[in-house]
Amino acid sequence: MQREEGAGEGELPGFMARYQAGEPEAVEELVRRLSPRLLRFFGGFQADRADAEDLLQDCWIRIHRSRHTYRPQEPVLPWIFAIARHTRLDAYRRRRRRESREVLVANPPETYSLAAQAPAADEDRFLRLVESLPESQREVLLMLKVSGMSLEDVARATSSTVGAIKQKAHRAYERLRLTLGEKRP
Amino acid sequence: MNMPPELTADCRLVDRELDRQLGTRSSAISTQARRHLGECERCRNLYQWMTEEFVPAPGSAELYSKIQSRLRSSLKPVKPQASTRSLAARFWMLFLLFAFPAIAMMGLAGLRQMDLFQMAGITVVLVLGGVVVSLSLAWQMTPGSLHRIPGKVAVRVLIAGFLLATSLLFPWHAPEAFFARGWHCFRVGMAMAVPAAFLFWRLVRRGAALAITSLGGTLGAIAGLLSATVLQFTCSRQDAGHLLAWHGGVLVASSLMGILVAQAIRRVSERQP
Repeated sequence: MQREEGAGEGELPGFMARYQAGEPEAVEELVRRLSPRLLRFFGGFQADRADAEDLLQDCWIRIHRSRHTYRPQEPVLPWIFAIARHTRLDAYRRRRRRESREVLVANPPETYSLAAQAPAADEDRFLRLVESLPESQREVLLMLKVSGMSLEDVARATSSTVGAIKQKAHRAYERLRLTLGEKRP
Repeated sequence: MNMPPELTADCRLVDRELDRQLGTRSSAISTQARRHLGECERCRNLYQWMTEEFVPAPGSAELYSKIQSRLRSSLKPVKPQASTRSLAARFWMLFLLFAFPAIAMMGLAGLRQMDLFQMAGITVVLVLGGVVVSLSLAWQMTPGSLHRIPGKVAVRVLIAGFLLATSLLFPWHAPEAFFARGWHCFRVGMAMAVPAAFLFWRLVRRGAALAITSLGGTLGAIAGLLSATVLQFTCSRQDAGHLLAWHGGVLVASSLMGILVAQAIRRVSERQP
């Protein structure tokens, strides 16, 4: 299981404290360290990489506005991913509302496939597998596998309980067993 | 859709091993589970996939630089938010600061009608309810908090607890001017709940609540509880029917109103580009 890439997760609270103190270097470090996994989290739901990048920017603006709500010594990833999760949910609702008002045109614009957008074979394989899962299970698995969060951290990020997260993870295992049993990607 | 594969006890053992390893660096696995992985292809594939290193591809340096410069441009020192207990205590203080003067102004007719057992019982329920929703609001203000009681559950527990306690503690009398007197209590209660909700919202907006609908319901519930508390000690009608329908009605209506207002705000914000 992968954890914080590069330096340990233990350094993140320190960077957050420096971010709250107004140090520009801490912002740069946090953006550099956390953006890849946030981008992958958004990419797990968005077919279009450009959309995922837009969500990433929106998410960082929200993080910036909410930075005073982070408490020193608390785990950083649940705080970050709780904001990321709602950034994605709000964008999804907004898009659904917009799409419900749109009139169908004769030639719909070309859509992007996950395979065409995924930057690397490793990610492509990952996306193909998780896209078979329902959204709530996909969300849990993305947080567990991409960000290396613990069950309690995911429970915090999703305002849920450890028991509910375990249940979702188990259901995801069952579905993935089926997919992986059919064909090892 | 394919049927889910049949799982054996050993497959479940692999699930438990995966649970144990989630978010840790450990890759140690029990002998029994290892033996099963040798026999079951599906579990082997799942275990390999779940335990293999997944490093997300880095995004573009240009994108990160854009984000960094945007954040740097408005970077100022901020004071970290107070602890959950401290935030909950503030909600509780505001509750008391609003309730005591209101009770003092409206008189203690209800208090005189209650016997000691009823007074103690309903006070415990109101205080516990206030603590639960205050804590729930404090958790909702802080992203990534461990919600020991989810917001929706807190509101349901509060309403159910109030209605149950009222129906058990107070006598059932034949209704006398049930609608006329009840409607009066309901109007007074709602007239208190609206400004109270506004005051609680002023405290909540200092945080970063993410689930707006749940927050609206909880704000409505705490404001409704405040109104029900004031009515409980000031209303001379202390029979279960009146308390359930009209005082409990304030609590329920206020919670629903909070949810509806929150949903309306969310819809408006979704329309914005």
